[in-house]
Amino acid sequence: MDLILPVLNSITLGSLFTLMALGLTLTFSVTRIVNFAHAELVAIGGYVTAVVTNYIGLSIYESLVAAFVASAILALAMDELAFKPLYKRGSPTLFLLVASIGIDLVVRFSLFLTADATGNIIIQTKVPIQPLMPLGKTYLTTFQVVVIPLTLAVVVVLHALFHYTKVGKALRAMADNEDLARVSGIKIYTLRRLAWMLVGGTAGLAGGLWSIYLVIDPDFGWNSLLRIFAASILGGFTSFWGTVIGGYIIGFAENLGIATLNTWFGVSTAYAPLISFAIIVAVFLIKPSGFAGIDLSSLLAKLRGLHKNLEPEAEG
Amino acid sequence: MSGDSVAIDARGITAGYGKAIIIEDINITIEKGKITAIVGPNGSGKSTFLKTIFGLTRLFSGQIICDGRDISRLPPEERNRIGISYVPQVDNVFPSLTVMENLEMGAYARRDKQEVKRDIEGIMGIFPILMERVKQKAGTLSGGERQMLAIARALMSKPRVLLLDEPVAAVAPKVVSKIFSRIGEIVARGITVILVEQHARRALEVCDMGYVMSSGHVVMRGPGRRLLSDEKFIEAFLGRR
Ligand SMILES: Nc1ncnc2c1ncn2[C@@H]1O[C@H](COP(=O)(O)OP(=O)(O)O)[C@@H](O)[C@H]1O
Ligand SMILES: [Mg+2]
Repeated sequence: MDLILPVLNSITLGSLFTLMALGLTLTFSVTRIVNFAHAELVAIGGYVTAVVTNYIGLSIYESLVAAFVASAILALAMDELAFKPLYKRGSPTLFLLVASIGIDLVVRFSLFLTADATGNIIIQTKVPIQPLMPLGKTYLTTFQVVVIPLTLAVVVVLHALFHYTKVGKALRAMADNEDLARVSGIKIYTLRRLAWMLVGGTAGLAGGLWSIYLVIDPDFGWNSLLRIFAASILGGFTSFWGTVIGGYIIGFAENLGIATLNTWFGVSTAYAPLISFAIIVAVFLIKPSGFAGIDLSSLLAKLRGLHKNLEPEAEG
Repeated sequence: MSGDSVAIDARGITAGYGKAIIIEDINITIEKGKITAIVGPNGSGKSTFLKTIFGLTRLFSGQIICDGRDISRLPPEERNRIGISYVPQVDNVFPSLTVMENLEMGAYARRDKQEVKRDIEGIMGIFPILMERVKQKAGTLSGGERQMLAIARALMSKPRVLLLDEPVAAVAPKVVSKIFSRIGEIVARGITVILVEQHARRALEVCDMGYVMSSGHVVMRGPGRRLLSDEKFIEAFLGRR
């Protein structure tokens, strides 16, 4: 088996899953909403990119910016019209989850109706993906040299935002303890809006990139949801870097994993989505806190045989 | 009592959570530059009263007057901006933020960057242990260290009034006197302190005015030392000793 192609595909898809999942993690961290409608933030990004590129004729970069903005606005609207009013009434998590499924349906069917009426049920952003340089028996493409660094750039920018800016730190503070954030003078509703725009924007960007890579239809966001959840859950659902690692693991699991199973055990590649499901179940059974629950420093200390039973009360 | 000497005046406060009324018709006057203690048994509504001053409960009726202004409809983040600061009884630091970041969040509403930097240094002088832990996550601190960080965080907003909810609960006995002497220093700097304590004797000894709460009501009030020598108070709240 030639490894270069599946590895390259794994990294490419892992990048896209990471971009899709970061917003889901951010949503849960800041608002405690398990947002199924996240799927449509991805889908709208895909459609906006395709339509703006194919019909309006703007460059792919301008289209991706449009996707970022459109999904950011949609995310903001979801919160202002549905989640925030429910939250202010003190609705329990379950209500918010069910509401998110409702929002997803409304957006997905609106998208479906619009796409159908304009004859765009199936669409792909018309940007030729070209081979750039040979890599073993395959080629590194123009798509890969954009997607992978772009994802890493988003990750780095978000990390810097969360750790080196005042609003970013305030977002983390809010995720830790909203009441304490409020009494510290943090304007939580302003920050909540910022969080939703980042959530929508990154999801829209991911959807836009996806629409260059593969043909999309109005269900493509929904069909990706299991992987998005798997990536986020692998990271413990609230961990930024955990989600990044989770995204790439899902990328590898669905590509290299299924390729290996196919080669060695004859498992059909059609079972690829089941891998995400298996990972979700496995995480819930073995380590519900995901990577976030693994204390790296004590693990390293253990490995070096230096573990001296440090601070038992540190982690819950 | 002249209006100028009053920092916060709680008038006829009835508050609770959801539909439940927890405290009823509370009248407490906080004088500027003094320590006011609120004592009473567990579950009597002391924490609920402090939360109500900060707008974190449901206010059914009554008014909270701060410097002559009714603040009872202000959101909590705005109450911080008018100079009130609050150390909750539990969950009073941001566990996944570092000690330094916690202090920065305490100063969130301030715009004077340079002075914030100097104040952080000043705070480290008051609580030297925090200096050794600046880069450590607050969630890894010991109980005493965490309380000191919580107080330090609250001071970073440069408050005129500081609400402290059982600042020495779950703190090692050696650290208790340390924290109490810091509270003394805070008052000496001209900050008004409201101190909630379950341990009545300790609080009434240091306070100017004391209020005793029981089952959601204020049942006694008076200068701390007088309450401590009041037969009825001793009988009901300190037990015979
Ligand atoms: N978030 C809440 N929701 C509902 N009831 C609460 C909440 N917090 C406290 N209570 C109830 O309010 C009463 C008073 O609690 P509290 O104000 O914490 O008392 P204290 O601080 O004097 O121990 C208790 O009966 C407690 O169960
Ligand atoms: Mg209490």
